[in-house]
Amino acid sequence: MAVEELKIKNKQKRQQLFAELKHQHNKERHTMRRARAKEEREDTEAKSKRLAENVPKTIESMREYDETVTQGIEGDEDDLMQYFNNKNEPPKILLTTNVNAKKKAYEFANVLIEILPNVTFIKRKFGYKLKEIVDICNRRGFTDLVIINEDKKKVTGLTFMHLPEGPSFYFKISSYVEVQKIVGHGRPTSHIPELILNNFQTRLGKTVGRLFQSIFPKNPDFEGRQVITLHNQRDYIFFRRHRYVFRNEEKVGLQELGPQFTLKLKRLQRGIKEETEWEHRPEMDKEKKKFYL
Amino acid sequence: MRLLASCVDSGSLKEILCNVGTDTSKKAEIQPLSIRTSLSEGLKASIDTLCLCDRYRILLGRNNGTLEMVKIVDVPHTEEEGTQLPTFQVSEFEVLDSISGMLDDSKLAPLYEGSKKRVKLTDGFVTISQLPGLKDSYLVATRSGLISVVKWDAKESKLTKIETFEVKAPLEFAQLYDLGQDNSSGDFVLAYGGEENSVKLVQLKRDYSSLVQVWEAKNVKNDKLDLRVPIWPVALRFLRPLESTDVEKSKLNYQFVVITRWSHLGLYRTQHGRKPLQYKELLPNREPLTQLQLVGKDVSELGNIFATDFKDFEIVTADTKHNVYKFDIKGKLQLKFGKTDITGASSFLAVHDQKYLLQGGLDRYARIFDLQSGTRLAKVYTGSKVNYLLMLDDDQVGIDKPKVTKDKKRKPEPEDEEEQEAQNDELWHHLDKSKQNSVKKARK
Repeated sequence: MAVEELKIKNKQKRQQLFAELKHQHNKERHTMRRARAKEEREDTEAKSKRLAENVPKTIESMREYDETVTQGIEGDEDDLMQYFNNKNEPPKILLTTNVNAKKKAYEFANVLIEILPNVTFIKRKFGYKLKEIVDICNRRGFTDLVIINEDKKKVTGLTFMHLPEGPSFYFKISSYVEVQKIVGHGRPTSHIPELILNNFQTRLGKTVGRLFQSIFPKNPDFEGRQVITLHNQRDYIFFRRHRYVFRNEEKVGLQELGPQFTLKLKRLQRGIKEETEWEHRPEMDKEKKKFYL
Repeated sequence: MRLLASCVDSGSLKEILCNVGTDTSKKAEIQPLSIRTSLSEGLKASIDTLCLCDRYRILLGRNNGTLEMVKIVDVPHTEEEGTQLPTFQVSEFEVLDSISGMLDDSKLAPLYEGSKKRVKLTDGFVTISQLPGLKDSYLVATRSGLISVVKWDAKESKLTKIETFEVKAPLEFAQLYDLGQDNSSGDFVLAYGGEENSVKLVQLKRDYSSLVQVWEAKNVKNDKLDLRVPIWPVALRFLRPLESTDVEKSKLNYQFVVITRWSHLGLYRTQHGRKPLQYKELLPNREPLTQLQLVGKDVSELGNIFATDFKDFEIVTADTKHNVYKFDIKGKLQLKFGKTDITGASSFLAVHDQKYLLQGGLDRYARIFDLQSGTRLAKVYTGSKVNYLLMLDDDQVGIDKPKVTKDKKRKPEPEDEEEQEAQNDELWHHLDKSKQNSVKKARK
């Protein structure tokens, strides 16, 4: 029952009444829960049955229908080939910043050098256009170009360009937590990590997943026991890095290696920043249950 | 509505059969009756463009340089068990003959090195169109500037390349003139242009012996900062020749509309000179425009308009973000199609019958809009980027199911006053009772 459904014209009285009503409902609920908990302590089956029956509604479970989730990728092999154009060679990445970048960008670059495999960092110089940089990269056999975007002494974005023919992705970066801030963090080793891509469901999400797939080599060093997780939830991609250890046959221990940051896809363009394939628009945020990845 | 969509990702042709109101992105809406994939050859051999020869034949150009003549065969749709669909026909495709090696990538390599915007440019077909007045002869133009004439021999089921001419590359379009009094005689006239390749009019002899340039556009004056205005026409449509008393017979008489990649709308009249009559920026900051379709009373098969002056018609164009615009010929924005719906750049636009606007693009949907009002009539997920769309017919199939409406969240209040009062009383009673119960005992 909503407060405006009480047909009482005096606002104070109405509010008071509603508060009382609510209080009473709460009380009833609490007693009911206590009783139920007591019952279920004796009868465990009833609890599992109840939990199976009453699945809570979350935004994710009420997600708006998207026909691309159920359909497979058309021309799957060709699509993969686009990303893994150098069949057996590992990816080779050029990392750079925006023009006139500040200290924060270089600090973040240091972090990314540790994360990305086979990466070369180049200080961005004036006077080179993106097209020229791409040409230079192509001649030297780079497979990806990553640009750190810094604005007002903050790292704000990350551009991934797959070479030679694209596509280009632009992500917003937020919630960056550096390694030192993570309590009990470990030191990463130079082993190639395993990759977990979580919850990339739509066609667009699969394309984004492909990007990360192509960046990390396909042959992880399992003795390193390092895992990079890219978990997509409500179109935010959470980046985490862990080391695992099998404590016994049932228990697995995790040690976070850091850093943590969150990516949000803002734009996907065909080629090297040519036609827009998908772009985030502010009005997309209005629909709370519509997810694009 | 029967649509043919060229899908890039799988290099296939899809036949979509849907009714007005179809929307695959909503479960409760009408779904397409059938989507069938055929002629799948992979991403490297996607269909660039196609030309409808007659109702049962299409000529299509693939990205790997193959030109295919394809026969459309209607077969009755076989229903899956459990579904209750109306009876309708679906198409099957059969390749009758093909020519390969129509493209030449080597010509484009030096061009994209010089291009300011493009990193890599691969050759492809830009236009395949039927020569006006002739039944089975086609003009095929490629990005690398190869203009060929191809003939179809129906008796022997053979496609032959008759002649190939080379013009200055790169090409964005090759538009034939089909507004003459009598299309069955005289030379063919076509216009072409591309990046740093200004619009040129050429005459193709009727016996295909030569291709002669007859006119070339001149760039406009430098802008107010005295910088050169870049040239990059992307699409062109002809008008009828100027009909006025002061037409000089010694001069060429053609009129056309041009859209450039730098968002200019250029109106040209060859009687006026080599520079445009008007050269207007449609979007701020020279944002790229990619398409041009005319909307008017009398538009020819190739999209040219039977008008003798630059008035009383509109243009439809698209940018590289997600917008599809309708402008009047003066450059005033009239309408945006699919404002919140389209998320990717439109790689294809076409006007069908001056009734529908077909739109397909990088967001993997094929859409049909009502041309006048801009309302969306159908939206179908194709699973692949759409390169070309063709409407074979606009018939409605079967009877649609009534829409299921969602029931409202809040229950309606009882209209009866007595009932309402009874409810109120009950509430008061309930509260009074609970109050008595919950009076706390004073602490001692």
